[in-house]
Amino acid sequence: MTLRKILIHPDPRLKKVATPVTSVNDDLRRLADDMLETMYDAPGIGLAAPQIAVMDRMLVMDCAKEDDATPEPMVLINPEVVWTSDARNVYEEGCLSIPEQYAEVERPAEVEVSWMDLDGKTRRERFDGLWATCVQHEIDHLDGKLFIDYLRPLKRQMITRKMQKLKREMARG
Amino acid sequence: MALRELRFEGDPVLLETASPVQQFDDHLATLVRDMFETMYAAPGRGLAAPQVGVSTRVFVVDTDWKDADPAPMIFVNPEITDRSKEEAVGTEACLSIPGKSFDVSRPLWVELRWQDLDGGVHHRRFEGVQAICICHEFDHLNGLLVTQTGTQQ
Repeated sequence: MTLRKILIHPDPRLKKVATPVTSVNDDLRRLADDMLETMYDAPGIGLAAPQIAVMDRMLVMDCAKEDDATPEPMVLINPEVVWTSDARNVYEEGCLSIPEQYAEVERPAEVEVSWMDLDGKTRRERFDGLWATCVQHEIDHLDGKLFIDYLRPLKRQMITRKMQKLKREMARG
Repeated sequence: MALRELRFEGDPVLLETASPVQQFDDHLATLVRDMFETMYAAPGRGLAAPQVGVSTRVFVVDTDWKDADPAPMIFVNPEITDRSKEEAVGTEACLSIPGKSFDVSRPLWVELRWQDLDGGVHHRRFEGVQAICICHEFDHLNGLLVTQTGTQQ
């Protein structure tokens, strides 16, 4: 397993639509392992492949984040939201590609998602609470969308400028 | 040989989907010769037929000539058959958009099938600068410019 470098916004790769996965093979399983390791190391509760520059429609998540909780790693390939609740929910979201910036985003409170697992089997499940927010946030990444795209332009520009500054500082080392 | 007139951003021919080449004749050979002359004179590393106003699926590439010996390559009816899933961001310029540069995300490698001037079929993997250049020119055949695929610097 290898830790992968997480891309920081703004980056053209974070704005691209990822490509559907056509076959589940050992490369893809290795990628999933690397993504989980990178996510837990960050630490984060979700990570989408484009965040590590891989243009596959795949995401990993684990929202069981209490310290004593049993890990519940999930790998979703080609995920699709097939149903959303009318009820909506507001969470303060963050993103590993936009470090230390948080903002409230409103999304459907519950969603049903279908996806392919690492055995190539189709799965379908309903998510609520933090899991629902997380899975929608990560699926957005596969469509080149970030949580700050839901914010007002002024707030979004402020965050983007902070990130540009952060990247310049990181580049200077 | 003749220099052809370059077409610039705003010209509708740059937004068209180019048509496949069907006849591998002198007309095609002349077009390609003119495209090389135009590309070297510009100077550039790649040029697609729509950039000289010809909406046909041909591009030429020479990624080496600015720093080493010329290595002209001709691609007729190219198709990308595979590409790396990992992408990298690089800076690109375009002869049709003078004076600007763009950050564009491209695959690390692409596999391409194409035809030569005689219609012979080739298949090969390209990486690095060649892959970037090929993707850039390939986009021209589908009416795509770096103004759409990238971010201006």
